[in-house]
Amino acid sequence: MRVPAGFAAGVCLLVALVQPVQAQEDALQISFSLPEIKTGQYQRPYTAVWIETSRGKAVKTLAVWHGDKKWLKDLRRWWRKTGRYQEGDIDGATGATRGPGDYQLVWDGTDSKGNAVAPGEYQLVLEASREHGSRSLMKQKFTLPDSSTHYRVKAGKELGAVDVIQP
Amino acid sequence: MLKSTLKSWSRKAALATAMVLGVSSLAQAHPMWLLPHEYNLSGEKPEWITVDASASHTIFSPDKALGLDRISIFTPEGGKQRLGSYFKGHRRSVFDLEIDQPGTWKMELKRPTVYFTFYTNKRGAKKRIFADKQEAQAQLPKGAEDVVTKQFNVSTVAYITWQAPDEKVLELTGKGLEIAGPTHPSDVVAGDEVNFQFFVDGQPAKDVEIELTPHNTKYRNDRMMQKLKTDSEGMLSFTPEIVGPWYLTAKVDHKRQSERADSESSLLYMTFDAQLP
Repeated sequence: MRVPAGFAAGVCLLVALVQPVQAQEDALQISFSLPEIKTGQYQRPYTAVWIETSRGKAVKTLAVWHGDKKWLKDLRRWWRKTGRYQEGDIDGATGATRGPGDYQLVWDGTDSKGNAVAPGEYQLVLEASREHGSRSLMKQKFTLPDSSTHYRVKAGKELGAVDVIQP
Repeated sequence: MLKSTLKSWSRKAALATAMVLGVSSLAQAHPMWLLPHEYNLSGEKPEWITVDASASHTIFSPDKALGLDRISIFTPEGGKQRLGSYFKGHRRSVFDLEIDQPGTWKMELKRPTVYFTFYTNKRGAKKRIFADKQEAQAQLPKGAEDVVTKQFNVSTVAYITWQAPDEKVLELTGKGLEIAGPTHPSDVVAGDEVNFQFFVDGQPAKDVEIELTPHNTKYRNDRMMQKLKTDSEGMLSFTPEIVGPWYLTAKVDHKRQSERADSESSLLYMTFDAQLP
């Protein structure tokens, strides 16, 4: 869903905090949440956030939060598109699983090797998979470069609503 | 002693195959399958997978257990792995396999070549015996007509991938009916077009008869089986819309005969997993 940037600024604190800086540094600002789920068997979800071309080729992993790699394949799309190839350096994006809360990520417009990508159509993909729980997969297409753009993706079972901003 | 044991073994095998194969048509044959419960692994350490082996028309509900003594397990590095012990019940066989090399593994169960001789007896009934052309000479009753001997080469395959998929086990041997990319069998995704190319003796094989069936046929009214054929380049193109394991059968009639048969057909069965998008 595309909403007017002005409206976006009103609802999203992130916009107010972020300085309108040069193009690539913060080509894409992503804020999302992992919802609190009331269950006796809560395990933190495996979560991945990454960029793909509009045709579904992985460009760069922004975050992958996981435990034992035996279950990394349960991030089915991320594993298939990029995880299994161990492309580029994703140490900076890798971390332990995280609990319910709000999270912010930024994409600087580069690929897994750190090179700036060509202008064009891309998509942001978020995937979360939880033991004893469900899997959520979200996608948002966007154009690079673009400005004053705000997309909002509806919440799913394992991922809260996502705000995507191109300042 | 050895000879007689071998003979009785091959006779048993032929009988078992006959039971599995039923009669000549692909539609009526009991399709044999290997059903891994994991197709893609991501761990850092070697991991065990478990596989069911059975022959049935209800995909994938076990019906007739398969002997696995002849199973071949091809490793990504180009070697072969021995299968340890396995369980053979009445309705299915089960084995576990440690996947200890990254890449794509292939498991293949090949039947011994089967010969059927079909004939019409003097009362006009259609009959068949498990015999090649030469063996049939001695076994056919007097007055048998429309005698034709058919040879069948039957095998069933499945692929498993740990970490990234690779191509070693997909290299063509140049013998018989084979399947190759461009779509990697560990890379099938529901909703995405799949392209498999079929080869006979190393050459692209057109008009291979294909049947595709998604799992769980017993839980729906419509079998949802698609009948397709390969094109002039031997290519099969389809889009699996259902997530989960699928069963592919491929049949080709070779244009050749031998001293033992008037015709020869190959059947290749494959189980693959259509992954969540």
